[in-house]
Amino acid sequence: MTHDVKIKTLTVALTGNPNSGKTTIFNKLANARESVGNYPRVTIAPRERLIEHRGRQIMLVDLPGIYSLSARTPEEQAGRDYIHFKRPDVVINILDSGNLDRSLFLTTQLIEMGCPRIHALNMFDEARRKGISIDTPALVSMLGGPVIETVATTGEGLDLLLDAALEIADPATPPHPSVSVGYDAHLEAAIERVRTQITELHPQEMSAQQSRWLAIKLLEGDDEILTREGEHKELIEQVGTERATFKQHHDESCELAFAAGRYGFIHGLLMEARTVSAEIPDEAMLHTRVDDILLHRWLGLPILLGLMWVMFETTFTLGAYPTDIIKSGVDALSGLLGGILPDSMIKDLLLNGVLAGVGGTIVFLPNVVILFFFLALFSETGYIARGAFLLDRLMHLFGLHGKALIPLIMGYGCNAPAIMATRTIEGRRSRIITSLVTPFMCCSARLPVMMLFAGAFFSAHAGSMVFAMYLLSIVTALGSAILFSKTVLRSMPEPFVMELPPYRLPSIRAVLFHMWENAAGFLQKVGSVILVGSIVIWFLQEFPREITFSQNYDAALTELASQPASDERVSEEERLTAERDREKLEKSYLGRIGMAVAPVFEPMGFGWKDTVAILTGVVAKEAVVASYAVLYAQSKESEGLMSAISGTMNPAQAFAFMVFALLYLPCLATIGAIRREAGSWKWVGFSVAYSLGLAWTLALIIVNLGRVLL
Amino acid sequence: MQNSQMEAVTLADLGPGQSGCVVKVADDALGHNLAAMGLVRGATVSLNRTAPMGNPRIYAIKGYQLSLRNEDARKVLLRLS
Ligand SMILES: Nc1nc2c(ncn2[C@@H]2O[C@H](COP(=O)(O)OP(=O)(O)O)[C@@H](O)[C@H]2O)c(=O)[nH]1
Ligand SMILES: [Mg+2]
Repeated sequence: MTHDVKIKTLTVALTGNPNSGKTTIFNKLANARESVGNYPRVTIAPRERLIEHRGRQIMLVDLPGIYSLSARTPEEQAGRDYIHFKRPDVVINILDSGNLDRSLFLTTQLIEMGCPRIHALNMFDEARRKGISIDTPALVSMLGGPVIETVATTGEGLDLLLDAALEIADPATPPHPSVSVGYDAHLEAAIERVRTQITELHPQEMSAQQSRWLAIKLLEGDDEILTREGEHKELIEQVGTERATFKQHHDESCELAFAAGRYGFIHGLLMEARTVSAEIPDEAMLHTRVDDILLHRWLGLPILLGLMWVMFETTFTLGAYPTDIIKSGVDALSGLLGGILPDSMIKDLLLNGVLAGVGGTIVFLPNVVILFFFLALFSETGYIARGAFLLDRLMHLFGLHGKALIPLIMGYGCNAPAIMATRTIEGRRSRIITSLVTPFMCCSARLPVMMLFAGAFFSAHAGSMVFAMYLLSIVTALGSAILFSKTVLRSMPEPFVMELPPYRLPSIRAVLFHMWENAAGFLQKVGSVILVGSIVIWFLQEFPREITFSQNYDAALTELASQPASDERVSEEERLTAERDREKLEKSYLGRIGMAVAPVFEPMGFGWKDTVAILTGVVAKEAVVASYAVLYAQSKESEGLMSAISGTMNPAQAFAFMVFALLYLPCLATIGAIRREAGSWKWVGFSVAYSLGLAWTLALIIVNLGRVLL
Repeated sequence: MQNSQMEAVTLADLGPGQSGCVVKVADDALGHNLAAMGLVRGATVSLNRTAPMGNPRIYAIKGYQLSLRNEDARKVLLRLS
């Protein structure tokens, strides 16, 4: 490869309506694995990837979906600002071929902006199945840019897309004859008058197309453009008069007239370039039948609940099999190392620190993977959007938006990206409420804690116990939302405008990618935070080495050894050894830290070990289990961690601990996400204080109820 | 609001299986948003489905399904067809 020829990297941005397949195309081209999902709006912030095509470097940018260039939610703004202000070299406008009427609305605005663009007729397979045929060559001249048929899921046409991007970016290529969206005579006259004024103010600076675009934007009342032209008082004044007169004469604002005009243009264009077969395809009939059931007025909600239950039950039961295999693998490794390594501190660190912590956490990998399989399935098929529709009214009662369902469900996977997904919600207050309550959702990192405790204390009903925790997490989230919306974040009702995507068979690749991505994320965390955490905890519990014991155990033991052998002697020896180990642990650094904080949990009767586990969980929730694993590694017998902890609490306390661990604090990554989305540390502080207070109070109530009832 | 048109109904009044033609959309942020989604003067719209508690509802517009709350759907005036 030669490095002497330096050609500028080409920036190619993918834009289009939500759910048009941008991320799928981005993934295919970049070979990356961003999260795709069949509900509107999964890409939340612009994402970039450098790729190479025919020897040319291309910076590919996946933008959040937008329906129009006049943005309303923050994520739409991100998508729009990129096109408006960053001005990528080429814009690839992804269109849903089965839904061109609405997809082309954004295109009309891109045409007016005059950015170099390529149109991808994506989902061409679906269009074909719907009996839609499109005269692609006719579209090329009508849209003023290359039009390419693509199927993102199979990769069909994607290379042609990049070829076309290189071609139109090449200065040697003759530009496509420019086209313009025509409006009715009154609007055109107004545009012309404003344009004349603009050309007077910016002489020679702008092409005819640019000044027309500016005139239209001004007439549409685009705030940002109006501020940009703020210094031209006469212009602003003229635009104001034009808008007022138009509205007076036509009983319709300029904005609405432009929107109607654009749809009129699209209608005309599709009359020529598209034919739709009259018969309703079987597939559409089938989708309607499926919706008849899933969106049924009485059955819809029970089915939703049932599907959620199946998801958690399967996560638990099916996950048990591979978990057993991993567990025996870890045990075998531990036995092997124990056999070959000479006794030393290193051996102890490896076995009781690293292997206990990492091994204790990694056994939950199958559960995490299965959970993400279901989440991917729900989002890929288009079911989540239906859930949002079914639950909107209910959510509304709780001061939440129907779209809050998406972050809440995503929260079952991982809270941090889930909170980022709140950007799809229109209103600011509603958005903040959602980011404050999402951390209550029992994320996959908390799953191991729940499983450990459910298995150790409620083994007969472990699956139901975990499901109960999931229910509690959503109840807490909703309950808190209602509280917030009635008090600190009293909110106005906000509109709920959501496209219902068609059902799509999930592509196995996409689902596998999604599972792999999250499994890899989990493993990465185990390999970093959990590994380091386990080592740190091991050191903290091993040091200081010099401890002044309350009695001389060694002397007592030696003395015992000289006595004649008896059952009594053995049990006394065991008692003394256990006593010594306990005291050693309590006087270690870890013990001291735990003891210092333990009074906080005194009312619940949690010990200092539980305290330590709780403290480490702040960094990452998986660390709770890892801490237990390291703390009990010494006393661990063949039955493992579950039996080691099973005697340490009564059922009420165990339940209280589960509730506390579920609710107590967002982890560090989540705190960062709240800070970003809610926009201030004030809300982070609020979230921390509220969740700690709530978790502590609930745990206390449970323990005391247990005292009364048990 | 209703006196000027004889048959002025809103999108929220549409019954099951009924369809109508958009006459007017409210001139506010939501109205502009709805217009961008295809609810413009002259567009045909029909009611597809209703959620468990009667709200929101799903409409067929421009060949796709759009879900709206009834309070938002009132921003759209229709002529029944
Ligand atoms: N049949 C079919 N499905 C597609 C195609 N492109 C994307 N999809 C599916 O459409 C859904 C939305 O895709 P996504 O890339 O997340 O859309 P985005 O919101 O524009 O980023 C996913 O379920 C994809 O698997 C296509 O060309 N054909
Ligand atoms: Mg996307």
